[in-house]
Amino acid sequence: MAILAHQSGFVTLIIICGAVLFMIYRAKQGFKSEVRRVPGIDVIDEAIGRAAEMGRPVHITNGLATLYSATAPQTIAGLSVLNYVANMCARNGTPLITTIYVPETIPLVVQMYKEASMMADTPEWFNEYNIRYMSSHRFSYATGVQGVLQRERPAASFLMGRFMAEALIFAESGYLTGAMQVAGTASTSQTPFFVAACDYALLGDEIYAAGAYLSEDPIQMASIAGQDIGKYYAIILLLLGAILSAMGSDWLVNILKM
Amino acid sequence: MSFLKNREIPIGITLIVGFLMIITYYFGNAFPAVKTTSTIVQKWTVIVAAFALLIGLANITRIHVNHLLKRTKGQWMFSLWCLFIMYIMITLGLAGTTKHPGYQWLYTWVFLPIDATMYSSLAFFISSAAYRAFRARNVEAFIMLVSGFIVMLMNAPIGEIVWSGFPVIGTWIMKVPVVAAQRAFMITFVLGTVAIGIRTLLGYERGYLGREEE
Repeated sequence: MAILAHQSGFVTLIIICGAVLFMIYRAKQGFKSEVRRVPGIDVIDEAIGRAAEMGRPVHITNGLATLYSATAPQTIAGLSVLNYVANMCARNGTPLITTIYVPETIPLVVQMYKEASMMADTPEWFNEYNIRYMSSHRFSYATGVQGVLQRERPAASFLMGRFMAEALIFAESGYLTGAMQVAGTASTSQTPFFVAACDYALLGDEIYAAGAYLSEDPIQMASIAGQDIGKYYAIILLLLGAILSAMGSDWLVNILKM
Repeated sequence: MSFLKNREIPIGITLIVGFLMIITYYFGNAFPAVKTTSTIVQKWTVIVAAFALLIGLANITRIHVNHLLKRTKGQWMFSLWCLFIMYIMITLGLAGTTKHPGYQWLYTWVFLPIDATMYSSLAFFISSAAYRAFRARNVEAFIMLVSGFIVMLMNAPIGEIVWSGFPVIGTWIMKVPVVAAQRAFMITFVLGTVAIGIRTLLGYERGYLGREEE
C-alpha cells in the first residue's frame, strides 16, 4: 500500500502552497505585490454610501455552505466581506440586515456586529433583530430572504458565498426592489445568473480574494499574487496536455490520475 | 486574560484540525491512528453543528415573538403563522419522530407543495433576468443573445423543424465554449480555495473572526 495517496494532487498542492508562501515571505521582506483592481469589491463602499443617503438598510447573505463542508471557504470569504460591510455600516449608521442559512455562523455574525458597533462607537447601531436565521432548508431560506428584500427594501444587497438555484430568486427580488447588488459565488452554474441579474458580480476566484483585498494587508495581498503562480502552473499543464493529446500520448493524463 | 481576547485559540484549533484533515487525505492509509482521529473530529463537528441549530431556533423565536409583541404592521400575522407551524412540526417530530402521521401529513401536503412552488417561481425569474441580459447593448451581449437563441432552439422541439443546424450548433456551443469557460472558472476556484485555505490555516485571513485586535 502506498504511503501517499493522490500523489499528483499532493505535488500540485505543494506547488501552489509553495507559491503562496513564497509571495507571503516576499511581502514580509517588504516587497509589495501589485493586485489589479476588482470593480465588484471597490463598489461595496459606494453601495453602502448609497444606502446611507437613501436612508434604507443594507442586506447581506452568505449562502448555503456549512463551515465543515468542502465549500466552507466560500462562507469564510463571505464572512470576511460581511465583517467589512458591518464596520462600514456601523460607521455610517446604516442598518445592516444579515440573513442566515448556516446556523453555526450566527455567533460569528453577532460578534462582528458587536465589534463593529464598538469600533464605530455607535452602540445603538447593534440590533440583534437584524441578524436573522431563516432556515437550513434551501427554499425556506429563499422565501425568507425574498420576504426581507420585498418588505424592507434594502438599498444595497450583497450575495457572497455558495448559492444554488435560489441565487436568481435573490438577485431578481433585489433588482425588483431597486437594490444595488454585488454578488460573488464559486458555483459555476450560478455565476451566469449573478452576471445577468446583479450590478456587479465577482468572477472566478475574486470571491476568495475579497477578504484579503478589503483588508489591504500586504501579506494577504501577497497570497493573491501567489495564486497567479498557480495559474501559470495550470496553463503549463493545459498546454502540455493539449500538445501531448494531439500527439496521441496519454502520459500526462496517467500521471495526473495517480 | 488578553490571550483569550485574541484570536489565537480559534486560529490554533483551525490550524490543528486543518492539518489533521490534510494528513488524513494524503497519508491516511499509512497512518490509521490519524484516520481514526480525523473520523472522531468529523463526528464532533456534526454534533456541534447540530447544536447550532438550537441557536437558530432561538434566533427565529426571539425575532418573531418581538414582531408579535410589537404588532409590527404587515408582519405580525406572518410571524404568528411561522411560530405556530414551526412549533407544531417540532412537537410532532419529537412526539413520534418524522414518521408521525401528523408530521408526514404536514410535510407531504403543506411543505412539499410550497417548496415546489418556490422552485417553480424560478422560471419567471429566469425569464425576466434573461430579458435584461439578452439585450444587445454591446458586442459581448450580442454574442450572448445569439448563443442563447441558438441553445434555446436546440432544446425546443420546433428548433430542429425550422432548421436541422440548430441542434448541431447548439450542441457545439454547449460542449466546446461553455465547457472551456466553465473549466477556466473551476481552475481559478481551486486555486482561490487553496490560497484562502493557506491564509486561514496560518491565521492571516481573520476577517471571518471579526475585527483585528488592536
